[in-house]
Amino acid sequence: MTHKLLLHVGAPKTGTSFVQDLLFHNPKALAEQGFVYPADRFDAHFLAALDLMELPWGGLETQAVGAWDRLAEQIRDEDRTVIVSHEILAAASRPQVRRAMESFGDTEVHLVLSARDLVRQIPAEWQENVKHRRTIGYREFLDTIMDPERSGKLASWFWSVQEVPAILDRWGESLPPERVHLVTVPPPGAPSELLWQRFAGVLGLDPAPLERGGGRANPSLGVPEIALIRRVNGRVNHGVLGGDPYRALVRELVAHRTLSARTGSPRLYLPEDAQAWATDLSKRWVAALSTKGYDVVGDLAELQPASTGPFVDPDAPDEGEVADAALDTIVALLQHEVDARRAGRDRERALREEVEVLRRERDEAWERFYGRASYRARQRLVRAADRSRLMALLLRGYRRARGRSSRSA
Amino acid sequence: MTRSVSATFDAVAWSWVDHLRHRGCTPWLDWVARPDPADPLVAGRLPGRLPGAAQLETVRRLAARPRSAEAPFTDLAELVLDRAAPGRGPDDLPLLWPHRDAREGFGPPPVDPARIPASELVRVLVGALAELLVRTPDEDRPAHRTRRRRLAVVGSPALAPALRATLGRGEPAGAGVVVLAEPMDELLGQTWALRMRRGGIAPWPRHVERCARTGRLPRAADPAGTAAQWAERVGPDQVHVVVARPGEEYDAQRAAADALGIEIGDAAAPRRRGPGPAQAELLRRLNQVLRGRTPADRHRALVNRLVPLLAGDPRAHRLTVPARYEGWLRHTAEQAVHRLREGGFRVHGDLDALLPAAPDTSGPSDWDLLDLALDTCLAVAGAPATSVVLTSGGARR
Repeated sequence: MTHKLLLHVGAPKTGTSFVQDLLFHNPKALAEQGFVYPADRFDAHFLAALDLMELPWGGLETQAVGAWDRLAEQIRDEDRTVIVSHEILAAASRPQVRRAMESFGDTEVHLVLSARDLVRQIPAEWQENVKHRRTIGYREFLDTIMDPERSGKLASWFWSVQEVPAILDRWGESLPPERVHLVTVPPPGAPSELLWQRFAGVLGLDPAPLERGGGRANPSLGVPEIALIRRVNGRVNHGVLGGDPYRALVRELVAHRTLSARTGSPRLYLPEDAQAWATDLSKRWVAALSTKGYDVVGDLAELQPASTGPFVDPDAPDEGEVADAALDTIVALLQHEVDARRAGRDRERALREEVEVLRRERDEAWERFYGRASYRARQRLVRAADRSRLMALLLRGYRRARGRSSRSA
Repeated sequence: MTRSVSATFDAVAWSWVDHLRHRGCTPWLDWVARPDPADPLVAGRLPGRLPGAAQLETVRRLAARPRSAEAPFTDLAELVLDRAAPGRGPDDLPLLWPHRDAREGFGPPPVDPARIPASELVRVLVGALAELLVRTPDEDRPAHRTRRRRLAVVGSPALAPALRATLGRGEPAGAGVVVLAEPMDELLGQTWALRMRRGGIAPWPRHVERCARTGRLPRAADPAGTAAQWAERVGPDQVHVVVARPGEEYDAQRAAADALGIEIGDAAAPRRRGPGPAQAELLRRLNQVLRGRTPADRHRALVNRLVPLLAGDPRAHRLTVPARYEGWLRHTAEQAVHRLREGGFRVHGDLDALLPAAPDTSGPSDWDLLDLALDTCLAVAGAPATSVVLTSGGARR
């Protein structure tokens, strides 16, 4: 029987981390419903995508050698419905899509793309760029992506993962339109579980038994917070922080765990000209998508930008607010240092206790051995051999007869 | 776009593709401007979606190289046309069509292939090169290597191996050590190239930046440190610092032979080894792809196989130290000269020659790199081990 593959290819910043977290942490609940999410680590599908697309990614690509072929083999060998999800797959070019589709064999492929309106996506993408060490200003970023030439890596990457009609055209080229599922992200203010319900609906999953692992969120930041990260990048990018420390300290500790908690600061939106441009472009997208016959889950109207809050320029932020965010960051880093020292001390104490226990066990073992009557008697004979020539001769004879010259008892 | 315009475009475009596959090298817009650009034979069997403009332009430029006749060209063209370029950058670029509105539809805007930046074509070629290399079977390697007596000639990674080979033929009179010293910017460039040769991916400016930030030079680029280390073992009077300016390799070899008391007769001037700046940059870009395609040991083996096939003149370009690190390098070089002068070593040549030269050359441009990548790709495709696999279509990805 032909089995199904539900291939979720993005887009970034549309709740993909949330979906992947649920799928990864609930293998049993998925299996009970006849599904499998074939991932032995949370980023398994990311590595497979890196391999498929030959993308360098800060050294992670060395862990991705052969990952796509392994994933494709798992997909082909499965009887259950397989779910694969990673948002960078949205950027796959036509030859890469062709290779991916060929690798699935006779599996019935269903493509899933989650999409959100451009007015929310563009600021989110800039934030993501800043959280990946870029120092480009917001205005420059906007000018770059608004340039119709799309020259350069930044613009080409942005559009490769965000241009919904083009992504669906690339990935859906060989599929009947009813197997192309476009999930729209609900507008702000909608119930938080609605997006997951839409996903689950496409996948054919009962969402109730699935629980969050709680490990991987990708929250957004306010204007002063992201301005601060951008300035930090300018200071740490030239050899101060390597890839791993940056990921652990700047992105995870500072951005995700500290600054994202500051929800009272102004949010980032588009300036007026970019908002008008994005609105116009979105209209053209919706018009094009409505003729394709895709399975739309949600409403295409949700891709039309809604009104947003006032624009606050992150290139010229309120310095007081940035300083306040910096203070919170310093406190978080201090706390992190204190925790690290405490953890270090605890580890040292635990190690000392372990050494003490081992030492005690060794002493007890010695005591048991050297304390035996037979050992004490032999010790007396050996000492007597030091004093008596006869005893020494007898001892030598005994040792020769025993076949060893060792003096050990 | 109307159906008739689309049909015409497809017929013309596929005719051009057919022309390129047969080593044609007419640029796209010249092809379009011909009186009858659509070949009726091709137009009758349009095969589907066109390859990207960058891939097509790459094939056109491959065809235009004099070496294109040496490779199984049609198979190489198929390989290039069938693959996406690795890494980030614009993909699936449509061809500019004079009769079509460039703004219609979605995806990247149509382009004139002749105007695609060289760096994008290099990206395509690097992907093709990686694919060619990965497809070739593993070579049988000798079970063990015979150990040869190694002479203590250290320093310059480009010169030291050649001198060891020449001087190794004679018997040294004593236990001396030769430290080959070159201008510090040259040495720094050589150590970077050597790292690329060994699978590195750091760009040249980052290599310099890392050295400047840590204050540590790679050992082979640190003649003073190397000389001091050897002095602890053999005494400073047994350490010969030979200054080897670029272009004066023969003199350096002679000085080293005299210093070690080795008779080398009329040995030819040593040939510098290791990739030049443009070759090293090509290796760097290739390493970025190979390290995601093969395990590390095979990656090294593939680069070893590629190096003899690298096209271009290794000495055609010289790396320029980024302006912000020029002061650091000059200061470091002055300190090195001072240490070498005061260390009690036996110096052969003018130590002031170690100071970095004022940059009078620019590094390789993207167009230099493109020429190199084109010729290297043709050389690899034409190499016996690769061409067999290429023509049989083996292990296609």
